[in-house]
Amino acid sequence: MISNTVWLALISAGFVYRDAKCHRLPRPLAWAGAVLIFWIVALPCYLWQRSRHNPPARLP
Amino acid sequence: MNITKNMPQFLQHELALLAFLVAGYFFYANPEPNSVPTYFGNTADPLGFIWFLNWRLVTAQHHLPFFYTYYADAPFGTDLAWTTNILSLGTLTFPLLAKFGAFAVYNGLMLASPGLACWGAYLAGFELTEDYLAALAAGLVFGFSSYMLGQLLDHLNLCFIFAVPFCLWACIAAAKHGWNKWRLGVLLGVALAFQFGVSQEIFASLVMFAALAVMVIHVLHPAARPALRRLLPGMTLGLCLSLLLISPVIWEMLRWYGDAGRNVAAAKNYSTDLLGFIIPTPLDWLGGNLLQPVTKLFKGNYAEDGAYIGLPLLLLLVRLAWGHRRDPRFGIPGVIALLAAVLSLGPYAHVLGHEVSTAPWILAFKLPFLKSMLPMRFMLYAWLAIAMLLATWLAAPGQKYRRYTALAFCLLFLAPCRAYDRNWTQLATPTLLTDGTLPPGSRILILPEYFNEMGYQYESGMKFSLAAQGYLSGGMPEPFVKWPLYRTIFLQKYQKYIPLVDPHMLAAFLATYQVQNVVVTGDAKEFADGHTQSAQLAALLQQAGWVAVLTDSDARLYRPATPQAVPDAAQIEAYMRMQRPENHARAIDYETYWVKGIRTLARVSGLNAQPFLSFYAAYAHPPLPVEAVPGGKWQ
Repeated sequence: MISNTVWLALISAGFVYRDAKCHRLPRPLAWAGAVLIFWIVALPCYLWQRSRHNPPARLP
Repeated sequence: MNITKNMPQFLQHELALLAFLVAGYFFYANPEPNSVPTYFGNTADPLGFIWFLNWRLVTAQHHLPFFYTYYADAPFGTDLAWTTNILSLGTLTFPLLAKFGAFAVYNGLMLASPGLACWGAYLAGFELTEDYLAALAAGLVFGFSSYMLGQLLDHLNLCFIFAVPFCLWACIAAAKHGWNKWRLGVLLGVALAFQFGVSQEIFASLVMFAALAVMVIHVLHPAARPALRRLLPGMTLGLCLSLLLISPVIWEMLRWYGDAGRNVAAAKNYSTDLLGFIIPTPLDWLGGNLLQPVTKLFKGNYAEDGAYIGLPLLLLLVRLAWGHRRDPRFGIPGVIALLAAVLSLGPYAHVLGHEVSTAPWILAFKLPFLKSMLPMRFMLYAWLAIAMLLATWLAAPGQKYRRYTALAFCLLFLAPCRAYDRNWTQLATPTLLTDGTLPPGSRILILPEYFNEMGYQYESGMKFSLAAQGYLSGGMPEPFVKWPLYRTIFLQKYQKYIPLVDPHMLAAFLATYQVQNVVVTGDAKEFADGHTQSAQLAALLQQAGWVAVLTDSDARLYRPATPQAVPDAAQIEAYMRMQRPENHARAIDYETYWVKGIRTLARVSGLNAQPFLSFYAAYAHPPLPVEAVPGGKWQ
């Protein structure tokens, strides 16, 4: 049985992967993996990195 | 240091060893020595270690197998390969065991372990820094760390860890003095084999952390890569040599691999709490008792909780590691300490016992062999790295007085609580077990004990075997635990349900395993009070057809009134299918809750409860008569 914590980490990792690709952050898979295995540290780090990164150019 | 300035180096080291051993002895020595068998520790685990030490003598005297015994869990016996059998210590102290006995040797080993751990870290620190005082400080930090304080409560196999810093010293010395691979290999091989014999778990985690350390050095310190390449053959040779030396034990472990999981608690239940690094446990003098309501929520227990670093030391370490992050002498131990601390969080990070996140050990905790390691114990490596980092800092040029003052202030927060550390326990063995009342070779059951029986057996001179019991760090023994009554009669938390045990089942259980004698411990007062476990067990035995043939001041001996008929396989199977007494009691509680609820609702709404109860009895509830449920004021 998968615990709630693992579900949370899995869903967060999915979002992080998608978001990192959208924002063209380097190594989206590594970020997703990090969130999956150490959610409590990796997710804040990702959000911090994301805030420092330039937002993606919007399509016309 | 002026006193040691002109001393030869080996004398300096011996002086340090002596100082550490004396410090450890006076710190932990029994304040009230007496003639009654007394052991260092406050749970039953030490009795298992005492039994294992003595087992080496017994195997030699009676030519018995090293890794299997019929003295416990009779008639089937139990394998000892996957237990905490402390083979190295039992073998090396063999002459002392023969001369002084297992209690004295066990106590001596426990008292020596902090001193030896200090000395190992001191040697590594000295080799690293060549600063006597800094190395002494490193030794003290490691040997009296939270990890050691906890494990010294009752785990000889986990606090006799001299070989861990010794291996580090050997690697540093080899790199520094250019030893050839054979010298390093032989030293490491012997140390690793010794450590395997003390604790297979520490051996495995040591190898794992050594591999991690090699990777960290390779990444963080490119200039050290050539030296690392020179060391690796010696390290590999040491590992291979140790595996060769321990191959008979490994063979036994592989033979009994099915038992591997039986003795190991779940990793997620023995994981460091995120707040455990800064909140002191009752083992710590400063704030430990005050914060006990918080720390009791942590996973595991205080003996395993080796993570407390204290806020001042933690801040100092962060400042040192971050401030000197480009200096590999600080960066490498800093990263290794961080890695060990993160891995000690286990597969899930917890805050006050609540699971809040996944943690890196989730990748490894189900893998073969790695699943047998408890993450909390990885703090051992964090403490060793911390000790090396502090030694490097103390030895660096600059104002040393201020550094030692700062360190002393930080260590004040790690000072142990005197109420916890001198945990000496007396073992009061019932007289009838030692005075020859029982014929040699008897198969007996001791109730309501589950943990002290190994100490009783040792005290009796191994005169009897224990039927269906024998705590040797293993879990519940198969196949006895399949009997629904097993947990009820042995585990304290279920013993309140003893009156619910079917006496016929108990008679069948005793007859199946050919138990000849049952010893129920307790004094006259306990037997007179009908609510004690001893009195309830005595009543149950009488109902099962057993009679008290001897009443002593501290125990009663029961034997069957008439020869007991051994049940056939079908009868045993029928008993096995019966509900466990504690589950039966829980079912009654559950029923009571629902029936009371229905009655209350009916009463409040002014309706007749009977149709609702009939509906509930017919369609919802388990097979318990509704009328049997206590109604109390709701009726």
